[in-house]
Amino acid sequence: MSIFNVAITGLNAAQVGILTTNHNIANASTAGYNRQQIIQSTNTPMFTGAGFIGQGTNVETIRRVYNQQLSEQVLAASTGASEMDSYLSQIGQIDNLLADPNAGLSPALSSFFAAVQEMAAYPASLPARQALMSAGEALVARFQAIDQRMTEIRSGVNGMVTSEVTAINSYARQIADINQRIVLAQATGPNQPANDLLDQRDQLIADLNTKIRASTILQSDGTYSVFIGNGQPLVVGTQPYALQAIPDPVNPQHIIVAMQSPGGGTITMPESMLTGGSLGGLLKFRSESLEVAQDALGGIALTLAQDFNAQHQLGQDLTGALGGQFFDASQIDPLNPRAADLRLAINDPRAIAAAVPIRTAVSNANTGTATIDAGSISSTASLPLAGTVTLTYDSGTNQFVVSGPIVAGPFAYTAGTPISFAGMSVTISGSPSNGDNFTIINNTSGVADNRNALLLGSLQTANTMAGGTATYQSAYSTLVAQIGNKTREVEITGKAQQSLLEQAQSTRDQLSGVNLDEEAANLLRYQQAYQAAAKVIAIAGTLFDEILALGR
Amino acid sequence: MRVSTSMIFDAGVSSMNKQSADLLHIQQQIASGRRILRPSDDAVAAARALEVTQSSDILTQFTTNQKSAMSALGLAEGQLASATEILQRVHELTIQAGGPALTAVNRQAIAVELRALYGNLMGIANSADGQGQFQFSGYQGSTKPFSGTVDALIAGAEITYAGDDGLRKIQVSAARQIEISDSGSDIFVRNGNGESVFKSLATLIAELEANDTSGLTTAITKITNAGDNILRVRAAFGSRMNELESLGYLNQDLSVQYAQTLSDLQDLDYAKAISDLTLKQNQLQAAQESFSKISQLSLFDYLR
Repeated sequence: MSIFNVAITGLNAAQVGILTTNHNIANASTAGYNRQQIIQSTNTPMFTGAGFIGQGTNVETIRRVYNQQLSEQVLAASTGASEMDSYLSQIGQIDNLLADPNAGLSPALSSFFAAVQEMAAYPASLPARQALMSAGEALVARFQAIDQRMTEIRSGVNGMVTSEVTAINSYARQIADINQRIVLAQATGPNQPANDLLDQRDQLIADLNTKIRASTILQSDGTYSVFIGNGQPLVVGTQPYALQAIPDPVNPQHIIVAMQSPGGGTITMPESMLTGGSLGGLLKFRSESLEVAQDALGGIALTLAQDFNAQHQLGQDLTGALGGQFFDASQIDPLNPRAADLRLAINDPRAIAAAVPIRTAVSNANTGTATIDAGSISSTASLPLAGTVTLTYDSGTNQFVVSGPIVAGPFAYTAGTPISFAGMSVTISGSPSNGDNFTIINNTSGVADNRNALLLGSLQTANTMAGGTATYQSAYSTLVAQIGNKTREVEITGKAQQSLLEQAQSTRDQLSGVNLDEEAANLLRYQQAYQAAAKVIAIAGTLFDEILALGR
Repeated sequence: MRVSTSMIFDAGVSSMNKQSADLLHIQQQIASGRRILRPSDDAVAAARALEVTQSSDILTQFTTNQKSAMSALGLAEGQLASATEILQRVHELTIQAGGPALTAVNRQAIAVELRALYGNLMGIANSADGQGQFQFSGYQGSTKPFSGTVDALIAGAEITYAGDDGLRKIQVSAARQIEISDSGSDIFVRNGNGESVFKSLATLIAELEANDTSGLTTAITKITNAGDNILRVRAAFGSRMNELESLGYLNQDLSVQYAQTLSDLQDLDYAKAISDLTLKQNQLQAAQESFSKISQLSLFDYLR
């Protein structure tokens, strides 16, 4: 009888082997599947006077070929790769936005200052003034368009943060749920692993890690506890803890991540804790690149508006009035500058202040050869002048005295050195004679005067940005270089993470992946074992027949 | 090494993806002719290209400004050339008027021509540019600089200059603003005679009409002085026009240099790109062929 028994153990084992091979083949391309193999051992032998007689085989367990450390390497690489991926797809949008040589800020800046120069060449020409106003409108529109595109990207990020949080919560619930099922499954068969459930849970952990970096701890009851950041629990045993996406109380433009506190309130999570995965990439992109780019653009808009206004307000317009504001930057928050808040203040081409409000003259009665320059102003506080300001030279003291509506001086005379008073500055050169007069008057009907327009034009190449080290264009170029470099960096880091991930996956798959050729061979192996065991039963049958035949 | 079946597929797909991405990049470069498609391709060169573009745009503007300045100076110079001719004619007529054989009627006839010349000179002094702005009125482009008839001047009044001494300038290079005008007072008044050329002319006319030749020598000196003064202004205009011309050559050179720099920064080296394209194409083909061969191998094919 024992021949049948032994043969049947062989049949059974071969059958389990074929089933397991079949399972492997069926799941060859299932995500997160680890190949399984049967662990076969001999049955307890029977002791007889002749020694131990073997009692066949049994399948101790079916185990998955799995290595915790290799899996964790895959998780670490995958969370890094997803982070860079999501960062890259966002920053790529800004990179592309700045890339277009026709759509960037540069051409609008160039056209604007070209219009200033054009107006300077023909200060009395209304068409030239109208062209400058239009170029100003185009510049403002370009600032707004670029900034609005960035704001769109920002609200896109907000939406994605919300959906990432929803996905993370869903994974947390599924992990908690599968924890429960694993506890139940493993309770029915002590010491037998619930391989497929474990694979599914590992796959959920892997999916979670593509959203955010998470660590796990295996508890004694077989459940996983999952943590994010520096130990914030996401799943403990069978209990998930939900994250929330809420508007930042400090900056409501931002959606941030918070955790529900046990008391029922919410605790916002600092972004430094939310690293890795696509959520980590989004948050990093927002604070590291988007914020910086939008502030830089806003900074250029604000400084340009302030500089241009300041110079414009020192000028005199076509009607003889002092210059007003050219741009309206009052809506721009200096701490959080947004280029979209820039407006054009000027709405009348005649109000463009191309002239300087004062002009100078040499008295015809002068006997010396000294000349006076056209004069400049640094403040309009004492303008318009209530009359003619006269500078009179006293050869005895080598000094100039200022008289008229403004009284100042005396100023020691050095040829070519500016004499400054009451926000005005004139330079006298040459040799004046005693009593020679030089006058400063309001630049009444100075419609062909373009001195202020030239000064406005020179702002294009003035270093007024970045603490007086950069022009508007170079500040913008710096932004382009910054975003370009960052994109490149993220791209390269992303590629490195991707190949790290591929290596880790390949190392893991070398161990755990299904090889169909191998399974085909196993199929043959177990088929042959089955056929052999069946043959043994047939032989045992004939042996029994032999015994029965003796009795005939 | 143990290899899982999915590794064969994953590795094959991943390497083909990489090759395709590279191919696409080269294709975009070739299609656009640009080496830098987006700043991240070469951030330093992209930023530099923006700055060079601005420099080149500014240069173009300066070239336009130089043309405006050249045309303004040319116009003013042309006007003053006519003024010189007028004063030369006045000079001739004055010398002619001193001829002892001339009668009062002859001198009156000369005075009639001188009156016409006065009108012409006044027209020049009040000439306007293409924008309708008076050329010789300083900053006050819409203020007519000179007005006054011969008779008013004969009656004793000196002509008043309604403009100012403002010099209109145009930015023609980063460091140079060139004066494109001169004040009427500098051209027609401050000529060393202590009176305007108009006053000198009016006095001469009055004398000739009275058949008085006693002041002709003084008149000739004054006309010569006034003419020399205009020649001085014209010489200044001429030297500025020369300067503009050489600035123009300089700008042409610079503009070629900027174009060269921009091209070096952002233009594609086609020869290299096309050879890269062929190389990548071959690599992709090789990856495709080897993948299709390897993926077909299966032990199951031999199980019967």
